[in-house]
Amino acid sequence: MDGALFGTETEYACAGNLSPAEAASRVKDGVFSERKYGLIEPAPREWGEVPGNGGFLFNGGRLYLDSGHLEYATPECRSLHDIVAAERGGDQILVAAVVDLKVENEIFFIKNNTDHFGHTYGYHENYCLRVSPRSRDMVQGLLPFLVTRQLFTGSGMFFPAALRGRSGSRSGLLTDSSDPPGKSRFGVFGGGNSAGASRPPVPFQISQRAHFVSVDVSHRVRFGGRPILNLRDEPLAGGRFRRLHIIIGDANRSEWATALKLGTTALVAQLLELGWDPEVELENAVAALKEIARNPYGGWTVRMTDGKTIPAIDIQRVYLLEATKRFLGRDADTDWTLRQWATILNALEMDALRLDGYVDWVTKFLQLSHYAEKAARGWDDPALIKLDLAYHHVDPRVSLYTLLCKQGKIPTLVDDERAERAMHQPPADTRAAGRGHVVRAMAEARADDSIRWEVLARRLGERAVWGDERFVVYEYVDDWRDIRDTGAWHIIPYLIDWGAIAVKDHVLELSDPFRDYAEESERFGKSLPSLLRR
Amino acid sequence: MMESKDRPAAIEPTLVLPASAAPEAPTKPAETPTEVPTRPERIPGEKEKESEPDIDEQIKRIIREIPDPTPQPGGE
Repeated sequence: MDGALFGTETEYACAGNLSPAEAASRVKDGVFSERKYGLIEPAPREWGEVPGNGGFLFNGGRLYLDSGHLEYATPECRSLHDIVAAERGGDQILVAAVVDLKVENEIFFIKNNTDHFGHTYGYHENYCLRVSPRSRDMVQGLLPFLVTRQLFTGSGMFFPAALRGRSGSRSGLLTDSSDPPGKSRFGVFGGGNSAGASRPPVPFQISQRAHFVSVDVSHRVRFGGRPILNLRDEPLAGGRFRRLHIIIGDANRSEWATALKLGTTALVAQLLELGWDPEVELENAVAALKEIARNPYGGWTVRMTDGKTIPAIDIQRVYLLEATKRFLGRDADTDWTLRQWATILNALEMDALRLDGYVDWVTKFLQLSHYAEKAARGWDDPALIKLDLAYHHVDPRVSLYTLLCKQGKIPTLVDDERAERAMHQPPADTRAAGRGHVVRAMAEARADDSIRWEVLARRLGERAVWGDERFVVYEYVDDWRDIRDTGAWHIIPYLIDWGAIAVKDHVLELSDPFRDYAEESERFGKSLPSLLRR
Repeated sequence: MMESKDRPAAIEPTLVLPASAAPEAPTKPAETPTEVPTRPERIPGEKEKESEPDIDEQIKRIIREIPDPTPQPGGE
């Protein structure tokens, strides 16, 4: 997509015999122990990353532990095809690592955002900008789009009875109480124009994340309220580049939904960079987000600051219309996004059932509805939680999503061969290509053999006690200059970062994410054996 | 602009686009059944549907085989 560059971060849930945190740690160690997929990082980093907490992958992405989850960050991508492949490559690295460790019946990873016990975990999107993501125009321009895009990006969530009790009003949670009972403007059950069809309340929300959001914007991602839009200003690139960090998205299984999520959001970010003002402002973005999420039946509306109530789909059309005027015909990804965006808004307006197989929440809602209809306890059947989770399991043996793909009910955008390559190969047209090349060369040179783990712990670590827990607190390394300044290269022989790779004072800067750094990375790779011998 | 070596000319598959919803004029379509977007009968290149056991049976198997729901650490 012209001018766009994006990547995503997924925190996987984990089920099985071990605790989620133990399982995540074991699989992380397995991924890096044989240098089969990437190379471990020795430096302690900010955000509590201890030495060996993660590493960079041959595909240009990164795998690491965060808050007890195994988290995968894709390489930087410029095309929708590449980002879909990169996400799937990450899923498959986890599946393959579990098989390598021979724990495939003990550890199961799940690509979703809630455990049904009241916890959420992240799926973050990153878009490269040339303007500040903190500007008032950018924030105000994004919020109405982000609140309403869940209509096609939501992964859907069954709401178990235990959580319903915690959330207060049952009717408020499950239905849109502004509608008269028995009326259906369009029915997921009743079809497009089935006025009067029954509309039973169901414990289902179209977004996994909406329920957990409490503020519209914040500089933090968790403490002080989980926001729709995170204002972290951490470009991870050279001076003119900035990074938009969106944390409201659901992790999708549908590749079509992933592509449309990234494609539409990239186009909207580009519109706002150009100074366009959508001139729509929601009265209360968080309330609108939650109200839309609670209604799987359609007829979604939002209240504006001028007091008017308008269809949520019309908000999306404001953005679509401007993107079409400005960008139609520009490149294949843009045209695909515009066509699919227009089509899906029409479909959502008329009959969301048509989106079975394309939009995750619709697919899942139909599967759960079908199961509940046959179950003696209906929507109170406890197996519905497992069915919900099964949709998100990444192990193809037990994944409902994979089963539906195999049966031809869900189309995929990336074939198995391409997904396999994405486990090991970076996109060819971003700095991930250079990073991936060097990481592979470092692994082949067994650069991690030079790490002095024990000395590292003594030099940078300090024993601490918190309550009954004993642990080591590390001085963290901000970037390669910290290692140079302390002369610690004999302990930490290399540092890999999104914007630079350093091996004993030799640095490959990767400051421009739109460059592939082919020649520089080739030269750097060839110099590695002699560098590591010093 | 550099092109990805693996990238096809256009990402596929697509939903069928109704004539009334051409991206040049993404306006509210008339609400007639014939204009409802429909899923392609066969996605180009899509494999013939495999002969599978009854999906309800497979779903029961999956529910049996996956671990019970586990509380997860709060993330971000």
